[in-house]
Amino acid sequence: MTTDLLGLLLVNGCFLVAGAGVTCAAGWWRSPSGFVHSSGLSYLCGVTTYGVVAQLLYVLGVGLSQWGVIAVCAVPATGLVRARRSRGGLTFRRLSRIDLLALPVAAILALLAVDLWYQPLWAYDAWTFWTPKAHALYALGLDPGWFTSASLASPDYPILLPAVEAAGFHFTGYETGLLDLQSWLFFAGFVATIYELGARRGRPIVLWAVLTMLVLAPAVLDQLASAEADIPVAVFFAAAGLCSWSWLVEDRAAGLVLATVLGAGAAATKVEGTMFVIALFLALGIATARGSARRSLVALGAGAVALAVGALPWRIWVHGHHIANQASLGRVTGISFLVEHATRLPVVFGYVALKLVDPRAWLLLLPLAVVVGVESYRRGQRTQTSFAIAAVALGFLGVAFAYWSTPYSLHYQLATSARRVVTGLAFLVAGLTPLLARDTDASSRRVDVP
Amino acid sequence: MLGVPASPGAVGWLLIAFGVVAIGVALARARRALYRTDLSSAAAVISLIVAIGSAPYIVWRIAEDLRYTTKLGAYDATFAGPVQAYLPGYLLDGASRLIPASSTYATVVSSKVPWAPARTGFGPLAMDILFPRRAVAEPRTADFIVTWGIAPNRVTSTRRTWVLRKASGTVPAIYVARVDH
Repeated sequence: MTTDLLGLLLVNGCFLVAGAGVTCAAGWWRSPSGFVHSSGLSYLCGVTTYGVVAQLLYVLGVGLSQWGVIAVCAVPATGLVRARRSRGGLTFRRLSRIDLLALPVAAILALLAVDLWYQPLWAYDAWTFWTPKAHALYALGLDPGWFTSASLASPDYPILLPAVEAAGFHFTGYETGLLDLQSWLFFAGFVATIYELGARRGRPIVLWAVLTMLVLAPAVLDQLASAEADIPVAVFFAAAGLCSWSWLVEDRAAGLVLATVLGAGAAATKVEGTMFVIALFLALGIATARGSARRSLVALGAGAVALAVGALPWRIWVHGHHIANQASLGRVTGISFLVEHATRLPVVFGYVALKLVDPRAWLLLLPLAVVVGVESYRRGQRTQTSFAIAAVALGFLGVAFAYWSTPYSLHYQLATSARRVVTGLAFLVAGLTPLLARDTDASSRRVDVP
Repeated sequence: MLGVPASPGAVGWLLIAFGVVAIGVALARARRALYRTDLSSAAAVISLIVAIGSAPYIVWRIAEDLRYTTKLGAYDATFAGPVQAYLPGYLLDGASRLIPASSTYATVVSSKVPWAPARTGFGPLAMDILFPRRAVAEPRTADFIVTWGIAPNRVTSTRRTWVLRKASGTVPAIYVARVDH
């Protein structure tokens, strides 16, 4: 398994290089120092770029070998030609005593990695369909016969995660023991992304409080050990939210480009990813509408592109192969069903809200976010606060709607999935909190490309 | 997490109690500084203190998990998922020798199988063991059927039947049969 670990690191190195090309081409960074300060975000962009392209290739009937994985990563990596040579060495901000909190955060992350190294594949959804799909993509490609098998649960779920896991299998062989570590890499990339964006903008005490809570949150540990799609979809969605913030507040065009890339990744990972992407770009459209109708339309257009690239090809394939679609539009238009089940709403709102604020799962992430959000609003940073509130609220409504319209037993659904589904919202809240705690007036701040 | 006890137990409660006391002491000591600082920073400090106070219990949970998972043998690790659903991984040993790789199969589980997770997990276990064979929904259209707790000829017309595992205790027998088209 140790040799396989090197294979896993190698494939993730390919994702990092691909993502560096994407972030550089988008104009997020130009110098080597800029890359170092964007490596977490670059990694996440690399994973989503690979996953979305791989999903598209599979849908088109193209199989991927080890060299195919390298080739798919090599194409976006060509964006690195836009990087410029550094005039000076690497630059880092001055560290303060509070930055010593990086040590316990890193120690907990390392402990988690050790735990996940020994973690077998045990979660029901992981061994019944996520990993079997990855196995099938690795061994057969997107074989319609196998993917429409009667025993395959949730055949309509998108295939970004299986495609990424299958890419790993091309480097490690069919080794399921490393899938939890793959989840850990997603999470570590997200923690790094929050640090990269928050370190130069937010108050260090808020940043480190958020990062410490995030790595210690029992809900995160439990889900990392499950190797399911909830962590990746949450990571991609929340990272897209942070990039959207950068476009909204700092007017960085690259922020919107990367939000689109990450949003496409979220939509290609899980059905609720689509719902989260709609909520995020709708919130961005609302937040910009008052200032500029054109900017609002650009935001909505970016969301449409993310959905078209991330979700549409797979939906067409699913429809073309007559696979029952759990996220059918019928649920949206089934007004009589919704009216009939209106009594579900208080239960759904209460249950999902409790899961989001539960300190046994998330410590004090949400209360801290509320306090920071209120203070940000009172300081006059209304645009960014409205965006954060709208994105979380719309995402929450989307989750609530999914439960309201479920044709299955509501209580069973809530009991088995609500604690996982709120992860995307919790991660978005965690990522935005340090940014909302900025001291400067947001609208007057423009950030140079590092 | 696989190895975390369902309830904290004596050590867990001790660590929780220690954490609560430590949080109380830290908050009391930080009280004056908290009054002097702005609301966001004060909330961040309180959150940080609560997180650090919770850390001993959370780290203990990880240690308990590690204590369990590091002792798992290769078999237990490979079939940890099915075992969680009351499905021993060896249930379908030998089935892939009977069903050619290009054939289709259908699974049928009797309600006599006493565990609901096992009944729903049987199909996915067969899918894993019989990979890359394709499962079909309708037994009479399959080349083979794999049944648990029910004789294949009660499901559809069959040509030849093998007993894959005899009934044992509360676990009913498992059969593989070639379907007569």
